Amino acid sequence: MLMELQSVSYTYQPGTVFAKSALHDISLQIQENEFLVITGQEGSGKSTLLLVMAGLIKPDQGQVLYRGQPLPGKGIHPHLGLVFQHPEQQMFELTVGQEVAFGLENRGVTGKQLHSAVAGALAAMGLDPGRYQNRRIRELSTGEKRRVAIASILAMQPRVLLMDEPLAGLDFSGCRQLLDNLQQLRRSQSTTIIMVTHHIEPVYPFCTRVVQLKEGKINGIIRSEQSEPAENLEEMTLPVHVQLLHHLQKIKPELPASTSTAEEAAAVIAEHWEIGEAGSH
Amino acid sequence: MESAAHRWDARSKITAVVGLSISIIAASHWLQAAAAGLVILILLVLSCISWRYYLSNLHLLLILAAITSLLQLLVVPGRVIYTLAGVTLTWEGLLAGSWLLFRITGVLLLAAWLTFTTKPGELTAGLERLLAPLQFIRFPVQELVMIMTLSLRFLPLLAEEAQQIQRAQLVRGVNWSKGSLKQKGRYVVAFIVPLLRLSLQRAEDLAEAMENRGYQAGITRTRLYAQPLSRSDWVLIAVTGIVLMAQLL
Amino acid sequence: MIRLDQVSFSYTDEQVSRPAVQDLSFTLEAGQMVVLLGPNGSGKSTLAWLIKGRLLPGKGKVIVDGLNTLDKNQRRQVQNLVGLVGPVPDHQFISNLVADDVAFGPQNLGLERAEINRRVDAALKMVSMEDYAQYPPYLLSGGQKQRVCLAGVLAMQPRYLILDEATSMLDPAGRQQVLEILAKLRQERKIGILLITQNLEEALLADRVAIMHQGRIAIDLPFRELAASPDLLKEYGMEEPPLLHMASLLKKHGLLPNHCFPDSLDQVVKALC
Repeated sequence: MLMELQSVSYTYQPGTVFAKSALHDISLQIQENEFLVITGQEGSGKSTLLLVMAGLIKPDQGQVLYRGQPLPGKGIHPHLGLVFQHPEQQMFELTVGQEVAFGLENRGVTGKQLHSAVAGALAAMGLDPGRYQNRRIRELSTGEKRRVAIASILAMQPRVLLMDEPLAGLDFSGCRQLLDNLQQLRRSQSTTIIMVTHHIEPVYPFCTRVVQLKEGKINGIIRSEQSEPAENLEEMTLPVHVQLLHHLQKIKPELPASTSTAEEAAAVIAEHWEIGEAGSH
Repeated sequence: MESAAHRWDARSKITAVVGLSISIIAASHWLQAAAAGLVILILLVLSCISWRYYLSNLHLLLILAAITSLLQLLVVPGRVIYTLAGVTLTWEGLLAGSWLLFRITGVLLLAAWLTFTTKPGELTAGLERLLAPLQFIRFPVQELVMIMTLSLRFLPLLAEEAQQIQRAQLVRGVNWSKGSLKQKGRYVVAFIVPLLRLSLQRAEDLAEAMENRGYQAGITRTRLYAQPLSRSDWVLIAVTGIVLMAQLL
Repeated sequence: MIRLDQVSFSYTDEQVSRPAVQDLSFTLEAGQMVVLLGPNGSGKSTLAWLIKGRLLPGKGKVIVDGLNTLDKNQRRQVQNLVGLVGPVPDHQFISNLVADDVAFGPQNLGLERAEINRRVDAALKMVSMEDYAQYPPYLLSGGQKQRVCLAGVLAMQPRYLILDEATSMLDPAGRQQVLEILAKLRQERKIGILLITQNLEEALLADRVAIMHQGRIAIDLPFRELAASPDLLKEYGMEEPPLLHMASLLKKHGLLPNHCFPDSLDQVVKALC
């Protein structure tokens, strides 16, 4: 077990008129090399949960453990990296090269080591270091900015990569590219990925588990490949093929609760359906 | 919140605050000061807001005022009350310090009273109506008020963005407690760059959104608030006028 | 009717000219809903701004209800006839009060106060946000914020509405709210709607679906026709909406008839049972 949240609760501006309970008694265990997706309606506490996991917000109650130890009181654990939703909030330099190097420079990395780490991070995000090293950040497209933001964190070689809505505003091929890059990262460096997103369809085939939040509590958890029925999950934030399996499970309980892809779902439904049953049209 | 003070038109309140502030600052006789002070106290009571609330919002500024006033005690020359380690306290100093404390506190309380009892939209609308005559001398009143409205709208947003930027810095290994002066200088720049970039982007986005809804410089926009002044508004203005006159005596 | 006649537009940036829209012809009638898809950079936003009159065509012309955007006087009228809502509600709010924000547009039109108040009430009712008139926008959810932005545009009584990726930042619930309002507007007010989106599911509501590719409109078809040819979608870098994709897979396994194009999951479940 890599990370553990124990009964974590957090309220914004407690005691004032604006008090808002964001997280309520959340307990969760995260395994190494997982690809965990956190989903839920707006206001369910997703972004807050991510900040608590990163250690940037200290919970009012409960604690977060990384490898059995509580997170540092100040700053962020060197193994953790967090990519915020809006690239503009996390870009500190003028050129791409400087930006990706920023974090490493703060850690005192210099010279050749720095240079190769920057090049490696850019390449991992599909940005050719030769072309992008000296580009000005303001000239980049949204998709490119997003990838630079992620590269800036990757350069610091985090073991756990936390991401807040990285797919927002990307088109289909942009999504695809990013997810392929992340998959590659998991394979080559055993990075654990924790992603908050409501774009569940493109992500589902890549993830291991989906945690659904509702009003600050965990509503339910489903593994992308799960045979046992999943309980009381909110349908809206699950992929279509999983929703379909959920409906069909009522008639055919032998069906799995979830498959990784729609193709697998269709195949398993076909296995359990006799041609004659596909009825009235 | 519905107190007498909340119900007054923003224009009469702004007039009262400006008029009474001038009165306090101009007052030279204790009777004049008392008149202004009494009116201010009445206004505060009429706001139905606890003195604790005023204090909690102003305490830092009031401490600053107290310190400045205390300095008067030590600095102004005159008849000596007491001497301690080469520093002299004088009666003239005591007088000057008291007046200063009174003036600063009065103005601060008036400003707080105004902002606590008036919605920002009403405040800017009231200001716009008061300054409207200036349009005859080509003073860009509408544009100025638009700038104020937008600033009010953006300040809380900027505060939020600043907090996010700070968090993003932590994620990238920025450590304010360690590091040389040069390092800290870099951190400051690394804070200002995204904030500035963000603010400029927001400004551009906003200008676009405004133009999309028909805003252009120089057009005449309908004012949303146009209620005439009520009787109690005139009473407030009259009282302010009287106190102001009293300063001339 | 909105009509674009062989419109071209290029961005000039430091002596380099980047064509964004090339030889584009397009129409949108009142009461019609067209969904515009296309990868980032294909020129969708540029098209939106050309219709709105914020950008002027280098070649060709943009005509809205007979008014030409190239004419300075007519352009102002066009800008009032065409409402535009962008993707980020927070970037579009002027005021800290919902009612004041919705009133911003009508104020700019110089209307009378009574008329402004009427329009604000009507617009907020249209988007089901009348209970939130005295709220500050920052307390609202994403879907609610976007509905207020819509109200702000509706208060100007446009005849056409362009939504430029207006649902891209919303969660499924928020998106649903906005789409329901669009359906209402189309039905009751006969407003012509151009919905620019990356989300193919929204194409399910459209009369026509157009796909932009490198500044041109590559495909402009009624939705049913497009849904029947997923290969066409793939050719332009798009993917079938998940529901239709699922239906296609089930058809391959012989579980659904080939002519079945479901609008909802319930239809699929019914067809299987």
